[in-house]
Amino acid sequence: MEQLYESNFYICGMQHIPYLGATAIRNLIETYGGPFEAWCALQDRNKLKAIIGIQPKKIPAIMKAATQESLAHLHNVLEKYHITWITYLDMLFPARLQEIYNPPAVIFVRGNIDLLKDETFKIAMVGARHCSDYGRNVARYLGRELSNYDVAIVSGGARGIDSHSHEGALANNGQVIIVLGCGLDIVYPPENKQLFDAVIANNGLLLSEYTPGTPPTGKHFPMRNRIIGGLSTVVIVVEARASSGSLITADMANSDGREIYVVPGSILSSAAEGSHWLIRQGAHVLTKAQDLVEDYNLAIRLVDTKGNNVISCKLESETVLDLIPFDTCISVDKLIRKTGIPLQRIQSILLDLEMKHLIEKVQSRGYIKIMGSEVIVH
Amino acid sequence: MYAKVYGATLDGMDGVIVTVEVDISQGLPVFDIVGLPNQAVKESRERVRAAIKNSHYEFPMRRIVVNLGPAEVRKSSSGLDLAIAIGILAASGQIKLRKKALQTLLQTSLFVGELLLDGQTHKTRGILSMALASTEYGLHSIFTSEENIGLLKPIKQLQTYGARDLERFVQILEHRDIYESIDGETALVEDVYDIDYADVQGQDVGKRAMIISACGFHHLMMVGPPGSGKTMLAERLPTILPSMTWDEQLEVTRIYDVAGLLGESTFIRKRPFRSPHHTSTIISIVGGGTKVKPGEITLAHNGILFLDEAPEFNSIVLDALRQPLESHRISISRYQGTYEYPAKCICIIAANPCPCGYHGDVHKACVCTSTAIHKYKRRLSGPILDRMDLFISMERPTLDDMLGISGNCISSADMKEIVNQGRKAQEIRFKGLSFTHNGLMPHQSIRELCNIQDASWHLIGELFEQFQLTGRSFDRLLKVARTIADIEDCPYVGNEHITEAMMYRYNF
Repeated sequence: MEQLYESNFYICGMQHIPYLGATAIRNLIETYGGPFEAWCALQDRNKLKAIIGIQPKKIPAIMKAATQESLAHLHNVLEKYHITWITYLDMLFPARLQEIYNPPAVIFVRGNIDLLKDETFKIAMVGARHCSDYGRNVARYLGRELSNYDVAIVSGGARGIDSHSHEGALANNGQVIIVLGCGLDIVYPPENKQLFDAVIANNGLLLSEYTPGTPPTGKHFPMRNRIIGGLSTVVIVVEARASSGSLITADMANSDGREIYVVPGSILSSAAEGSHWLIRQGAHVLTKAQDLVEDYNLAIRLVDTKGNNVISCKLESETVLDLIPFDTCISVDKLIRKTGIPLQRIQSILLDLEMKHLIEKVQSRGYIKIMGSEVIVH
Repeated sequence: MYAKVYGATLDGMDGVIVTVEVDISQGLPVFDIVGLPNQAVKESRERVRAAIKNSHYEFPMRRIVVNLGPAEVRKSSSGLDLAIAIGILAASGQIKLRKKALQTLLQTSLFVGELLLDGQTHKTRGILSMALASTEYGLHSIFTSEENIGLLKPIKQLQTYGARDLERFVQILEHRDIYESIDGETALVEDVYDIDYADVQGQDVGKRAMIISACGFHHLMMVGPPGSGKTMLAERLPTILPSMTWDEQLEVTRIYDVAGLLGESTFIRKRPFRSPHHTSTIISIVGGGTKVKPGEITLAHNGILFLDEAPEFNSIVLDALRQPLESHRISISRYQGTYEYPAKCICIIAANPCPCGYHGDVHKACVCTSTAIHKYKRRLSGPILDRMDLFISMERPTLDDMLGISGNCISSADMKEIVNQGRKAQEIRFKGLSFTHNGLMPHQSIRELCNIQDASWHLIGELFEQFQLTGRSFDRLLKVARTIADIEDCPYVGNEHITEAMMYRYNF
């Protein structure tokens, strides 16, 4: 067989083949001496049989899929979507990721590759997709506050906590790494297209172990979670239910030697049951962004953060603001009843507070206070 | 022997005058109806034959040809029975009146009624449209079944004769001076509702939004858990809309008459409130069917179309509403022809925050997955949401609300007053224009007609920037702000109107 591409590209080729995982790829390369040699070995039934990590009954399927056409196709697609690939043999491959159990053989990235360097302190934020208002508020607050420092927020780009921590970080021009459980050409969940675009536009990074075209299937997500934990130094569990995916992430990250921080929730609701279990197991408790900053001596980021939100407002506005809770929404009707301020007047107060980013209108339910602003009354 | 009588049939919403020519000549006994009759009209041969015989008249055993004109209109009304029967009786000389007198009488009268075999007459669907067509045509008396009389009473310049059977009709024709006709007189009766906004406790925002909606003709969407009073708010909206004018009442009554939904009531005074179930088909909503009938959107004409559980509606059904909500007419093309029905209504749609209904509820946990919620919301397509000017969220009433302790108990009468006052300014503003309310302003006229204070453009700019308004939501904001200013009786749109309008922006 003729070698048409640079040697390491054959690792991407192998990643593209179904039933061939990261372990098998690495074993192939070690056994046969190099990526190209390993690729050639895919045509030989006996050579494949000798490799640990390949199921014997999948060998015919693997041999069938390892074609020159699939390589050429992959090459074109990567170019079309401007996707860069970094194999575990490359210098750029993050050292932290190299040291986890079962590291990926190759990662595909789009965006600001510099974020992968070990100088950037990476904080993973994970949590439930179906999160409470409290969890959402915390995720946004932490994302925003931590972005004042020289860190990158790593998360999975899923609905719920993942998206909210990214949104928080982006609101402060923060650095964001999203690790996907599908090919980089696929937007999943679809409503996050804007978010992903914003991440790229804001010097962030999209990353995936999977070749373009790979659909988001259930088994990809735990694999993705090992990369989220692997890239980061610290994993923050914002809100996890009992026996949830976030616990798996925390567990894997913990065995890889990452520090786990957990945000406590209400003991009365089931939304944070998993979080509390982690705390009982001995995870760190995170009560404010400052905890992390002190533990790791995080450096203030010098460029374009928006800093702390210090706002002055009138007494009447403050009365309204005080009545709006952090952890659940309140409707305008209730606010009118509690304050006695007439409808038209209260609406302009609310809009004013909203424009100052002190409160937020939550979809079809009312208003919630945004954490992390100092208010001066005059 | 020849006679010419006038009958009528329906073509969509409109009545069409049909000339019924009857010719009786020598030959083998035949009874033929020509001139594009449909099955119901063809069958009228048997009814007419039996009715004449059973009313103690003689059915001529000769060659009878009935021609219905104009030939190109398909005649579908069984109400032609009476005209055919009278025509046969006149042509065979069984109506005892001088020939000349009979002719003039038949030339100025319309006969509408379905016959039973014993000669009795039946109520006819669409009589109002037919009567209106007859006055246009120059026929000033109408002979029809007694049951139809109540409906025709308020039509001006129309003499109405009602009877129960064929024999009686002939008697009236023969001795017209003895029988009194009912002369039409227009009487505008005020509408009275048995529901009132005073029944709704609390819900300040909801009621305010209803006033804005009613005043400026804005379509509205409500989101809230079950039991939060969405239906209560919506069904009371007719009570605060300005009372219908005579023309509006006539139009609505005509629609219900054509649809065969009039029942016992004579004239419809209340604004219609239609609330079709979410399993409704596209035909039942926009109209159509093998016998083309108006759909819910037409039945809601001049009133409210309320779509409860809107995301549960078939998306094709919702999308079909897009065009009529904009043009206020719906045209239905079928092989019989194209029918156009009016469809000018305020559309209110309601949705739960999630499939189980309790997303975000303080007291009851939501059991939906985020995917399920996402899918539920996606069911409402962008174009239909684009037509909604106001969005409000509702929550379940508290104990205070239910006991009526907490504030707002504004009644429908007070709200109606506010609405009427807000409409006055619009009347002046839109004089001579093709649209009549703030909610109907087309894009190009909005900036010109809204009269926004110079100082407020700064705020609008800020809002535009921060909330990333789209072109459509920008238009919506200005239109709603204009209505709020009208309610406040303010000639210009100021900051306070814009901030309030901002509260009703899309949020689902």
